[in-house]
Amino acid sequence: MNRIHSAIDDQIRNRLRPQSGVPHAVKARIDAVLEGLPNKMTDESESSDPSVIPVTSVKSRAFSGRRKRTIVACMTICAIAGSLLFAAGSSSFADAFKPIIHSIFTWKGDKGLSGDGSGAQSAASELPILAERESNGYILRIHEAKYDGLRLSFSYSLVGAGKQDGRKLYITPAFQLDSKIKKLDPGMLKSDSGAKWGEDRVGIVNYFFDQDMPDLLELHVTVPQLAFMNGEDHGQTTVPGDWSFQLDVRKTGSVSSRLYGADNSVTEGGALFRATGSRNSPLASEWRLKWELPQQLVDRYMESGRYRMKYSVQTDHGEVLSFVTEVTSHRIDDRTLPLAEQTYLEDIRLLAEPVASGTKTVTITPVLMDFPETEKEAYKEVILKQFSIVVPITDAALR
Amino acid sequence: MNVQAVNLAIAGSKDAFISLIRESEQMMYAIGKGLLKNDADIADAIQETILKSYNGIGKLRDPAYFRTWLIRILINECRQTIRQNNKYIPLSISHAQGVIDASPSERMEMEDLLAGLDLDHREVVVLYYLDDLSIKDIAQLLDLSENTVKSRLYRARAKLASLLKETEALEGLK
Repeated sequence: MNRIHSAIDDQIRNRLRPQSGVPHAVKARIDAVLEGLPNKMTDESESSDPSVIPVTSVKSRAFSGRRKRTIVACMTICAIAGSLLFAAGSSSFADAFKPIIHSIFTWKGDKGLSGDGSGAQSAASELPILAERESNGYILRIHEAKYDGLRLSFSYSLVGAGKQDGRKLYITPAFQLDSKIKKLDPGMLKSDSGAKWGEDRVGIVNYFFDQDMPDLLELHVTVPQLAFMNGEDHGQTTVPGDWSFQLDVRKTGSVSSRLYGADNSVTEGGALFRATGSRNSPLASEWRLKWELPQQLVDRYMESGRYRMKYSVQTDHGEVLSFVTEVTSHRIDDRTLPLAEQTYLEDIRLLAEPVASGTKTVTITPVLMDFPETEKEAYKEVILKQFSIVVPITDAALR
Repeated sequence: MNVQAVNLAIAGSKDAFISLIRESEQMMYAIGKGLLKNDADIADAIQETILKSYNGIGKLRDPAYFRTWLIRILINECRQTIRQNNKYIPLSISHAQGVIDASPSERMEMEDLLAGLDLDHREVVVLYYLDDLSIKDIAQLLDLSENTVKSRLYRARAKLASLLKETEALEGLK
């Protein structure tokens, strides 16, 4: 390799190599998986059972012929019995490698839900069970719940999913809140994120409110079906049943709100981007944004579906907030105007993890995602730094 | 890599296995980050890699190959995630998937560079530059000939060099 190549190699290596360590959410998951590994009980130092013969000593031991034959015969029987057991109960085998989870909130690495946000394990030695319902061979358990007026979250596990081929299926219980709560806040947003747990499934369901909510929520949650999505061919099937449950959750913490004016906006090339408001609570943060774009620009670039926008929200401590969900709505300001004068309006509501105490401002930056129309082109992201907005926040209800 | 720890892990020591994973977690994250788009997917891929390697380490014949064996499992998990993500994006979390968890400038820089490459080239680049594996090891790991690895690396290097040049030109304008 010549010197020019070496210089380029060093440059590429330096650019690609991550400067920071493993982030909190990934580290927390690794910790949880390692902590949950079952003992194999074949090592002297780890086996407290005197009947277990360490593999290392078995390998080094010299056998007499008769003893050797006896052991070989025993091992053969054990192997046959083991294979029969394995065939009869492969889900039990998979269960042995299921990570032990003390808190799904912490395990999923959601800073809003994992207490102090440090990712430390919950003090509880076992995953609590707040509600449990079995139907059609599947057990749905509700484990944890948190509510602060802006966000309601509960964690669940779905056991029995191993009856299907768990590697190919996304399984989502269809959680439905009762109409009384929907009436309190028709603009409520829901998100559901699941993860594999051995052959089964765990997940967190979140609801985000944009109205004042009562201190006590008496939840009546209907779960009439499970949706199975085949990852290979997009096929979707449902399993009917009744996994409905009731749960009372009490509000902890409070929500602080702030509205923004013209100071928190940027105009560039005929496009206006502005922050209109934020809400903060111990469990979440909400960011309301608005675009005003010439309709012709939207017709030219956005209608094809090639481009989409996402956002980066970074605190003055340098922390980039993870989003839980978002919703957008759009309209044209006045359709009676000629096309060249029409304005496209888009409202964005981002729901993210909470900001840390002591945060005074956040920087919101739009990022343009370019999904190529042909496979030969690569996906690209363009950070629209020219539209970055710095907004102050009210430091009253932070984590 | 501590061969003695690998031998103990092969013999069934959970503590030895954990110490090996602790040694490898930064490397696993770097590979996952080079191939996958968000930390949730990286965490899933690493989780499956840990469970599969713990389950299968008893079958590892040569302790010297622990690292490449672990990387092979991880790459297979990443490929599976990429295949699933290409075919199906769950609507409810599609937007949350784009989360940037590492420091933003670092993440964007790396994504920008790697986004210019297809998966075949990205795998080679990640293993060569982030993990310092030899061409021979990469060839074994990916079941490719050494010549194929070299030619992919050559093309990827040329593309990355031109991207870096563009970036520098842009930075020079600021």
